[in-house]
Amino acid sequence: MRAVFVPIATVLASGLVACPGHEASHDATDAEVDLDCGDRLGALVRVPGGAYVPLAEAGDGGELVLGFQGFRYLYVRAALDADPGVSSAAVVVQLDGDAARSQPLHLTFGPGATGVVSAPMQIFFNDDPLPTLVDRGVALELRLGSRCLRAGRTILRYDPTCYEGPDGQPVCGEPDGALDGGV
Amino acid sequence: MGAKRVTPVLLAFVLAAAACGAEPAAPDPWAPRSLDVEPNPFGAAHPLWAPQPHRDRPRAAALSRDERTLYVALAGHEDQPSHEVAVVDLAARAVRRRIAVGRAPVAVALHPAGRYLAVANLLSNRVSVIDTRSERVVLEHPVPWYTTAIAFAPDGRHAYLANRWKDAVLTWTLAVDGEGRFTITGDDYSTREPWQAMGVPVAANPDVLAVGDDGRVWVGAVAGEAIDVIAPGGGVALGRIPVGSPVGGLLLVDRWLVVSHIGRGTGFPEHDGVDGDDDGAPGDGTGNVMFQDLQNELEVFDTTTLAAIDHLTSDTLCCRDYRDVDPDDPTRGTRIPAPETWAPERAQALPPRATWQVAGALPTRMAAIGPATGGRQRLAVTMSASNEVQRFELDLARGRLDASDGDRLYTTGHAPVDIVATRDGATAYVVGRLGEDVTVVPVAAPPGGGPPDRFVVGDAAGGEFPATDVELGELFNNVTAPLTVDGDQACVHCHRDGGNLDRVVAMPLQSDRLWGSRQVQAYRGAFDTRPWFLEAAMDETNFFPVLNEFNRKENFCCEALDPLIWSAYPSVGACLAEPARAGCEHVLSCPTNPPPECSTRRYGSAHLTRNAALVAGAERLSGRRTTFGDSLVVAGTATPIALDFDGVTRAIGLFLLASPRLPPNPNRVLDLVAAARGAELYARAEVGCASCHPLPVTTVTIEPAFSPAGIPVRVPPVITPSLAPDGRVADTVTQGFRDTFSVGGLGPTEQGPEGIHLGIPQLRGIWDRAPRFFHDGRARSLRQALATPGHPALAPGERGWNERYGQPDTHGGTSQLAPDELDDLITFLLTL
Repeated sequence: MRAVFVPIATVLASGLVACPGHEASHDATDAEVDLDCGDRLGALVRVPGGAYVPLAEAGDGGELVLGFQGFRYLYVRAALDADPGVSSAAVVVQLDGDAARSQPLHLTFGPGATGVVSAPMQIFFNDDPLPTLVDRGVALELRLGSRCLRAGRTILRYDPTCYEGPDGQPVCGEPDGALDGGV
Repeated sequence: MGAKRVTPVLLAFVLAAAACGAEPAAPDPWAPRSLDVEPNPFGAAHPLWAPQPHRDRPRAAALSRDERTLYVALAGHEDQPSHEVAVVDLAARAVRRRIAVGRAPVAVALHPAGRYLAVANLLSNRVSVIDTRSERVVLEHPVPWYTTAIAFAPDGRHAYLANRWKDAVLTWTLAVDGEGRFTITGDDYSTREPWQAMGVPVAANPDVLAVGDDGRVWVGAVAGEAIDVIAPGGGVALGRIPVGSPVGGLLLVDRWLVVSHIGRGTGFPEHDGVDGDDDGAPGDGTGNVMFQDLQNELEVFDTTTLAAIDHLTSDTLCCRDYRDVDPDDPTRGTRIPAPETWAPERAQALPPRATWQVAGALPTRMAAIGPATGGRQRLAVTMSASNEVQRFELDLARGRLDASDGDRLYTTGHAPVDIVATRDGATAYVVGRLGEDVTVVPVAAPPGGGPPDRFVVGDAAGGEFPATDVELGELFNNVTAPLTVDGDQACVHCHRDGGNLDRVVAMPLQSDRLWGSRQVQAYRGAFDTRPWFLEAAMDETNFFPVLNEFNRKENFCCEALDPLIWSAYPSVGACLAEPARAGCEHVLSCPTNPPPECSTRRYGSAHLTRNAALVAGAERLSGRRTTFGDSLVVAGTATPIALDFDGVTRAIGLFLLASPRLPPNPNRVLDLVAAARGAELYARAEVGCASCHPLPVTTVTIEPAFSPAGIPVRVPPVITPSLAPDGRVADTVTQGFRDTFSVGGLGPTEQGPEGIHLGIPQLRGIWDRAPRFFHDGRARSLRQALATPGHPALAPGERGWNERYGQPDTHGGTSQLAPDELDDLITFLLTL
């Protein structure tokens, strides 16, 4: 029987996705770039319902999402007039009453309504007991380069009836189905 | 191992002959040569880079006959191998001098006559022999690169050398004079060329040797998870013990062979799923769930029958982790949320409670302590992942083993890697690989709980280890146990020496854990091959699921995840509004005033949050509650970060970026014509290797600097899916995992009926791996991975896996290749 050859190049090519405006300027040092975004940098946070709104306008707070094995996180996007040419970023997080911490991030920009907007970035809250997160205020400072900053504040909103279901998806609205510690 | 055999044609020699234009002198294929380290692309340009102190990384030790001197092999850091043996004056507890040997000395053995010391140099094709009277190297004998262990026969007439490149044991024949000097009168390999197979083949990556009084040679393999037995004098394989777990150490006592390893599972379920433990029956034989099946075990074999006689396992088999199978409450598993749920009958598969005696983590090298008394031999076992030594006693009549001191252990320096003991059993000297030290352990007396009595033999000039954030990450990677809720697991349980194991496992992220098993992956060369994990869903910014598995929040009562407790208490918000409300004293101050119900749980901590537990563990282990701040700081500041869950995870991620290099490839330096032909085939479009595995990194990466296409990529569906018996693709992960993990802003990992989209595994370093290929380890050789079904290159009994649903050539176009061409392609792959 004659073997049939499926070109792997085709398989791979179908998996390749070029990111517009992303080709030229990434290198390992871009976290050190003395980038000044002026007023152009915007930070958008996902709110309950799934929409992204500017941090300053998220009056009802950002949605704390339940993820894999109990990891909880906010979704944030960065918006700019144009691709800043850096991919490494960080967010400085300060829960009310706590010391500041930070999380490194990778950014990938695509076209936005105006200018460019990053793909959603997750800001994790792995280190705090859930009850201490719910409805708590948090200051966020998104940093691209050394001078490109956008600070804001939101409240962590969370539906405490949600738990991680057998397939790893959050299941909400079943108060009796919450996590069992195993006793 | 056949997979590492390389076709014998030397391009360099042909070119050299042509250039000279005259008949060339026959080149010496065994000419002295040391391998250079692979380049490290993580450099000063990276924002996380920081200068690192020089280290000597002591690796192995031997005592002089008069027990006044300790010889310590200083292997060096893999970025900067050392080339010295430290001569330690034990009375002064100081290094008296250093003797230059080959590159990366990793093993030492004193000849039974007591005068000559043999030193195996991992990266040099020479064994150095030191005359301990003159303290000079008097002989350098050719060996293949990657000699990992050396041992002498008790009569001193033979020496045996384990080789990780050849996956073989080689033999020297010795003549010994009246002065205790030996000469090598013959060997079983130097008439062959370095690229040829030689010696007695053994399981992959042999790492430890022991020679019995009867002259038989016992060889323990890490990646190959087996012990081979070789006849006295070498040359003939007598048998193999399939341990099913990486062998950490071997100790022959009387007729017994004591073996340290990490367990093979406990035999449940036996009726379904991938045969992950190679016992011939379905199922991976794991009595516990997820990483809970990683244990710390000692097993006793009868050297006459090779039968297993006794078996001890971790003393923490139950119940520090909420997921532990609990023999006192078999139905508890049914109340744990999926996917950790376990059936009540799992409790029946647990080993007997009397065998739960191993208290340290990652047992490796062992030493007999003094002469046997009353028919019992005491022995000491190093616990590499918990910085400890534990004593046991072996019943010489029955081969039964018991811990001597319950759960009390001696403390050592960081990452103990070898142990030698005085003949009277009073003292053991323990080499600390990361601690750069030797710990003096008074093994005649029970552990007293005091600080270790240690002195430096390596290089602490740049500060005591750990002195940087990279070193913190290295410490946490190697000595993870103090940071786990069980206290008995480590990253290096499976990722031994950065490599992989001959083992498949079920991972927490999988939605089909019976049929979608994955093989353990090597993590070397991580910096330029991000994203990590088969799912291509992680890098150093979100690398926390594994540490999470060792420290699930459900174990910490004050995380308030147990509804059986916390549903009876008001919420934090309610308590903040009305602090005097009943129960709020526990809600608002759990760590100091936990609900009384917390102390009724049989697992985890009643009062610590996970963060508090990790910071405390990091402080006990490293003396620090924060990073040093040379790499890991709060963004935009110079403030070090806390060594909590986030900090420990980021330190490990930093270490993975900075340190584990690909091992220097001995096949590449041979410059083989067959490899050049194979490289041509690799690049050929109709073969297609380079399409998915583009050179030089042989994968696609999120860093455009390393991606041959220059752009970040998304990854294709799994090329060779694992199928459940009903034909379903079993390579699927949970939705929660897909939603939670994403790299480079590319979005959730993709998945469809075709299975998960997997990252493309790099092929670099493939020469050094256990003989398992593909994500699920189904191909047991490179030939089987590359060949289409029925390919003429396949040997009887081999199966070609280059097919998808019966359609061949889906993993490269190889059906068109002649067997010789397939050999050439394999030869090239082994040079990567």
